[in-house]
Amino acid sequence: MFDVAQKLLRYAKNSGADQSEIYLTKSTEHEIRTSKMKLEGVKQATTLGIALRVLCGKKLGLAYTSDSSESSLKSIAARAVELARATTEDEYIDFQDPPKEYPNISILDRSLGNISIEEKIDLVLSMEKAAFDCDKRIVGSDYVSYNDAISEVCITNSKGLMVNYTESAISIGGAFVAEEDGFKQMGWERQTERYWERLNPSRVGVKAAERAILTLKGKPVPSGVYPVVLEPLVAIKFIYGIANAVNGESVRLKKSFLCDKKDEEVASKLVTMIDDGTKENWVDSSPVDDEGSPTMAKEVLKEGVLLNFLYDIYTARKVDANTTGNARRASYGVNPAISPTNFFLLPGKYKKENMIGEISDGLLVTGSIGFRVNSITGDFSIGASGRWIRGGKLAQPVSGVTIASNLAEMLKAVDAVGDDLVPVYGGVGTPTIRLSRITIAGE
Amino acid sequence: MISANTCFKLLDVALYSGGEFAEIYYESRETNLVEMEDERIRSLSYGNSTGVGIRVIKGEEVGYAHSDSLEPETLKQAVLTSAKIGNGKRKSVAEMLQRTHLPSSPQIKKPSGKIPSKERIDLVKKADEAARDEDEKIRGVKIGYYDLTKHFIIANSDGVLVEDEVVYTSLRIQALAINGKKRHPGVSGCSGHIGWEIFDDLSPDVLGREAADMAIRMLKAKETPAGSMPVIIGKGNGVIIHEAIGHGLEADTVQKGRSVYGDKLGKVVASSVVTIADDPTHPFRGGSIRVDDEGTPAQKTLLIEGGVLRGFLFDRVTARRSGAALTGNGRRQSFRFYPIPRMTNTCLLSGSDDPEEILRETKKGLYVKRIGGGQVNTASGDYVFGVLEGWLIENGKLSCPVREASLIGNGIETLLQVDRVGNDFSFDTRGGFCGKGQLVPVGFAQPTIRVKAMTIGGTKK
Repeated sequence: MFDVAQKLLRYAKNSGADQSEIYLTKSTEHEIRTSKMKLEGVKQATTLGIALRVLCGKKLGLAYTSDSSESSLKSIAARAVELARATTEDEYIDFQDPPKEYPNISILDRSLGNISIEEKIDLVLSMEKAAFDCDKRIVGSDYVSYNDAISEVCITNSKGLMVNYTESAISIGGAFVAEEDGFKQMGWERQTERYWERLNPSRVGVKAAERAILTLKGKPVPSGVYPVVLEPLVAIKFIYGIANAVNGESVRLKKSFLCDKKDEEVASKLVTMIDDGTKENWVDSSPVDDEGSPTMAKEVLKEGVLLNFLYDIYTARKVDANTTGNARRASYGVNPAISPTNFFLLPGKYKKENMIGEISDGLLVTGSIGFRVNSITGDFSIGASGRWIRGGKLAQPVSGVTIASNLAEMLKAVDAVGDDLVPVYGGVGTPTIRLSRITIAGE
Repeated sequence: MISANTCFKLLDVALYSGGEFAEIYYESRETNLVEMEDERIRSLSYGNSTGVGIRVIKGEEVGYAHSDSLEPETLKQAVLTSAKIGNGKRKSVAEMLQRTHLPSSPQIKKPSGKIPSKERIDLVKKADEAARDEDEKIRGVKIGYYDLTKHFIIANSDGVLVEDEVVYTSLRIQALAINGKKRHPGVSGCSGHIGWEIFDDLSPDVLGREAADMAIRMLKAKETPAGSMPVIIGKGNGVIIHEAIGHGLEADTVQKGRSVYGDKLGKVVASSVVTIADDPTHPFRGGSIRVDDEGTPAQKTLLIEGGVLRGFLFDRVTARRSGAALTGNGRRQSFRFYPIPRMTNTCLLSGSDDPEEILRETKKGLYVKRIGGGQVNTASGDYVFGVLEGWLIENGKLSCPVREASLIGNGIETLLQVDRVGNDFSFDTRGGFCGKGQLVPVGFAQPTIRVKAMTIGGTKK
């Protein structure tokens, strides 16, 4: 891969680039899908992506391809330079200088390449079996899948930066359908790991099935303001809202409800949120971000105080700060932009049962639909389902309600943080949390 | 490039260890992108990718593999991997591949891929300037330009061989108007399987002003009253039909037991004035294709006729499962994905009512000028949709704009309540992409319609 990168650097220079940066990725992926204990699909693929960014003066052009032949590389080099010459100038664009060191983290399961397709199929089927065996009311399944990828990334630039790493990522999960008296309900669960050994398919199947059963025949409740306990799969939407609000570019453009609140107390003292690109075992860790900047751990919120925003090179230069190693490419053909790495709420000591036990009237939310979360205004509204809590115990199943508030209010309303931190979407994770008040809109 | 001969050989290898059907999908594409925000070109890029996707079907199992490399040995490995699921009974490949003759389609006059980069930048800058110059209260303008040129070849073990090239062009504009504490976005745009001639009528200036004007109009918007009332959905807002009804008619959703329409073929699911079709044969729109991504020639499929459910949208896998005829709806985002049932252009067909008459007849209600985005639960048919531009109707006239309205309802119940269908059938010029784990371009069209009663979500208590 380095050879391709070095060649491309040369071609870019010959085409007239003042500076260039190459981002190469090569991955092997597998996907297994099952439905109702039968194999539905098997997918295997290798993907090669080559992306070249060039600066002509302070003008940036991007060209990408999946073809590593000489003629293709020369063509991409010429294209990128042509685009750079045509675009507008921006003095804040820059590439990463070679850093003195990178964090040393293990991110590759070396055994994964030797696991056979048959073993992977068996794993998914065992996940289904655990769910179906859990309760006779489980009648169906959907989106049940196994996905893995082993990816090699190589970043090189004309300033002498040269780094590469190989990582593994595996994800298993799905939805199971429970049915009783003609009513149907779905329950979801997902697990994402770097290492095959850490996968627990039966736990995933059982959890999803339990969630489906828990909210069977759920009905709306009367509207009002109540305390709520949010399980990780639901609380994650709140965490995402905050992750988007601390995006340094959004803050700079005043497109965040947190933009003028640095160093202020914006949340309850129980809230500490971290963004950590070096976190072991979590899938959004890597030695460098997608511009080649070393990753790091940073306290975004500490005991309720807003301390740090997330930056890439561009935004850091604009606000006279340093990059925090948060540059991400949504895919190899896209410019890097600020994104959280492993972003999570630090776990506390509360057990979920105790959070529930302390509520006389409230809602345990185990599932949600929609994502009306606006990081600019802070408005938050999602469809919710779960169990009503009465006198510290779980009461009737609930569904068809919405819970709504404002992210600013929610941050202050966190009055219990669970000890059960899990990654939910990639490296964005959370424990179970309790909010002292939220508006439930039902009947 | 991949030759018919190579395809034929690979198909043979694919079915060697068993399987009933094999398919080779070759694709070569080029894309250009320009993004402008806050008066700065944030992205200017060109990309190409070439590759092959290989599918083998055996019973209920689908094997899929894709490769960027066209090296014969690599392709053979990809084929063998895809065929791993196929064990046992083997069906042989057809005697020979026969080239499908596709219906002629209107010529692309100005292929977007050949436009010089400078012109793309000028186009985006023009739209930006037009939006900003329209009013000093316009503060944030965001513009995205995208074009795609795609050449593909499909060969399958039934003997089908298809080749086509498509061009897709899109411009999307969002303008933000701010007046003190009030702010509201306005949107505009155009897209379709067409070249730069799309900008002959819908020039960047016109589109820029349109987005700005909408944002300015909506600055005066009052809070939306919540409750049940008649709703007139203005022409061109067909995305609500696509989302609220269309997804429930895709055969994979039906076969998984996740569609409220599953057991309703031949039954009444809408009022008698409602007829809905999936129609890729309209030229130049987001969903206008000559052939789907499995090599099936595109066709108009009647979904709901005079209120009665007539059909679903199939790909090969679902059609085989149902014993139904192919409808040409097997689509995929690229060679890296296997096809699944997708919509093309979702069309609610023209009626006979005069749209102005429909408004005059409506004493009070909500007029939806521009619908926003929404979500549907296909199993129940329940949906929620945001309204980007809505107006209160008072005494048969539009009285004042209202903000952040949402439409809450159920697909079947809503269509049963349609009592007026205008004669002004129109496509949404913005078009869009439909996501279902993979993105495909689609189109939406409808005339002005009136729904007798809908639940409006509003902020005014």
